[in-house]
Amino acid sequence: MMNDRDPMLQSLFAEAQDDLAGDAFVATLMSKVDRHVRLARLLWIGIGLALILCAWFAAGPMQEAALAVTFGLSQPLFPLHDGLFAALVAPLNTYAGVFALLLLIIRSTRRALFAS
Amino acid sequence: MVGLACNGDRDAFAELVRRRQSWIRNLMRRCSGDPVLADDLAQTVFLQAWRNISQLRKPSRFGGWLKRLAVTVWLQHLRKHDPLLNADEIDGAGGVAHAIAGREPGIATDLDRALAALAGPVRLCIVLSYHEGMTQSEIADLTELPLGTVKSHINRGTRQLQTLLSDYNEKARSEEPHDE
Repeated sequence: MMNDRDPMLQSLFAEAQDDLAGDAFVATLMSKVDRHVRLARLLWIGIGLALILCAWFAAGPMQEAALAVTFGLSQPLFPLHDGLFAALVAPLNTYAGVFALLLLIIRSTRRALFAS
Repeated sequence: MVGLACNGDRDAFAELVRRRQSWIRNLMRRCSGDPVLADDLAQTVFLQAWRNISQLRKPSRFGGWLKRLAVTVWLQHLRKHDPLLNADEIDGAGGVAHAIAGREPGIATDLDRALAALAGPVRLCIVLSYHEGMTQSEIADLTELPLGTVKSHINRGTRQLQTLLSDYNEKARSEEPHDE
């Protein structure tokens, strides 16, 4: 591969290179870095506070919702009287049981279709 | 030093900047032709370096990583200010000529004036080749331009610079010792 460079241009580029004093440049940059660090800290504190507030206000309603969902899922699909049969099918005779069965079917179908 | 900076050590990063600032500022000066703009862009490069240095996996590659950042910052600047960059039709001399006009005469000023006459991508390839000493394949890799394009940019830019800086060529020839 050709990487030949013109010697005159090469020497001009070398001569044009200045050794630039960096004190002012570094000071300006580091003040920007410090500002960035402060802003990042403030942002994280803000996010933390927002999360705490959300948890504070949402804890009650979320707990109620979780209880309602748990109660709903455990309701029997078909009313069965007490007995051995009722006790045997009890885990499947709920909305939660149907959901679990559906998930298992979807997973095994996916594996059957896409397994290499 | 780089390892410390990767872990968020501010003083280590400041020392890294102190060591590399002249190199990056010179690179940006050759690209932009404007010392003030070059320093602004160099500041942007180092700020981005500070923000992303924790993602640097191999500290030994800091130099190459910084160079890639610098090229990215310069390309972003070009895209922001030169919408025709991708069409390769820009005339980079417009904004730079004003900045060069007020500078002290000298090799750097003459070189920057000549570089300003080149189109943005040509200028970048020339600077990476002559200022950074990179090979054409390294430039293609860094700029994500096809190798053939890099070759033609460098050939075209070299010819243009030879013409624009012909005074220096003649001067160099006249200073060569003559065999009699």
